[in-house]
Amino acid sequence: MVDRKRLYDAVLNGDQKDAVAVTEEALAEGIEPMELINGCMIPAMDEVGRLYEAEEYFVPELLLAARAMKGSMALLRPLLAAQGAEPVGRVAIGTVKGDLHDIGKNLVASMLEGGGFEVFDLGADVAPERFIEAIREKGAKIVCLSALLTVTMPSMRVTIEALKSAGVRENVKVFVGGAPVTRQFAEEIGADGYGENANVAVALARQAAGLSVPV
Amino acid sequence: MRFRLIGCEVLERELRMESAQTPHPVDLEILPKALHDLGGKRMRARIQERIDAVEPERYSAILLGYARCGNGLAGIEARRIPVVIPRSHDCIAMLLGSRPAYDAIVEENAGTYFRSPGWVEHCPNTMQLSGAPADVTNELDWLMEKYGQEPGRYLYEELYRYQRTYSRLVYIDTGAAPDGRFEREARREAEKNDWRFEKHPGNRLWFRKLITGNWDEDFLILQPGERSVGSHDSSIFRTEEIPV
Repeated sequence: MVDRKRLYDAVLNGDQKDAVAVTEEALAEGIEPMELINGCMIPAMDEVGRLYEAEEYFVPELLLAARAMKGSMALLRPLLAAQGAEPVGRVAIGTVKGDLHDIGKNLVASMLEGGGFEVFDLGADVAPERFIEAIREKGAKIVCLSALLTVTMPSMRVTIEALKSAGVRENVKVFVGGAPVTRQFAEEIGADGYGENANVAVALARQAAGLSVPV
Repeated sequence: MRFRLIGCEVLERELRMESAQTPHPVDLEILPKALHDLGGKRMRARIQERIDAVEPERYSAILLGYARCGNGLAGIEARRIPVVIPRSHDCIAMLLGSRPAYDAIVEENAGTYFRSPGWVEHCPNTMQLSGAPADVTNELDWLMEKYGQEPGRYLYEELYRYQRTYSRLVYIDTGAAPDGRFEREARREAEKNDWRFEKHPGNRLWFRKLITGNWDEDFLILQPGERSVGSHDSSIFRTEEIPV
């Protein structure tokens, strides 16, 4: 019988090969995909987030853990789809207009994907219209905006205003993040939440999707 | 009148050039560029620590050779003498001489990567996200050594993917380089990344105004008992009373 702790460890240690191998074994033994996600992968990512906040993990470790999780998810997703399971949520994510920094955004996108979300990554320097499009055409219910420069932070406000004008603001939760962004700024521009780091961003999305959030 | 100037090493050459030409004595303290990579809160704490170490009776004001720097300068407190901060989002606009000069370049092409003498001199590797120590010259090797060959390659690719979002390198010639070495280095970098190279004239006016005490609307002046707050309009900073 496959040792589920191995999947937890593989994600925690960012070992994609092992994550994929254990997932294959577990599926062969008939373990349910959701059980692997909720029982191993999400707890592992929670621990990754905790280590990051404790400054024991840094960006490389986060990237590797997210990749391991994505490797495993790539096997689980088709099975979940075949069972008719919906993704836990649909997220449109992008770095706002005028800003080309995307490492943080990519990290959050990877971690959301690893957490079972369907992620529409719109890239960097994203005009508000493209977020509106993702809401209308892809059914995104969560919008994540990133900015790394104080000079481009006002684009977040512009984007939220554009969602209002387009009449879609009420249909979605908007979360903002990025190094210079603050909680106060998030409140000022009428965002629904502020993700201080990638870990918090994922917790916000899970909360918005009605999932439990680890304390 | 005597000023204490605390500034970033990225701007050291420009600050020193202007300090040499001011009528008042200026005592200069240079802090490492690494503060920039600590994130807003820790950067602010380190700068505040240096501000608080200044003997107030010796100086008329403390001048900061910084910009808002990703909110690293938001929340700075003036205790017993005024603290003066340039009202600029980052030092790129300062090196170019004005915000309109910066806006014009970015509006033309947002995918512009900036270099100046100090940005070349002190930041051979702009990204510190790998966590590699500053003396590491080959980050790819370092990452492969630490995380294994394949994961190291993957990390390098992820961390440097941002380079493909740029298409032009603008070297700001502030006249503060000893010779052509920094420009040559910037040209090499542009070539390596397949970016178009452009040289733009810099302007040290912002530094001059800071150091000579000509604090116009381009500066925030914190009086004792006040602190800086980042604002999201063209003023960049506002002040508030420090709560007792």
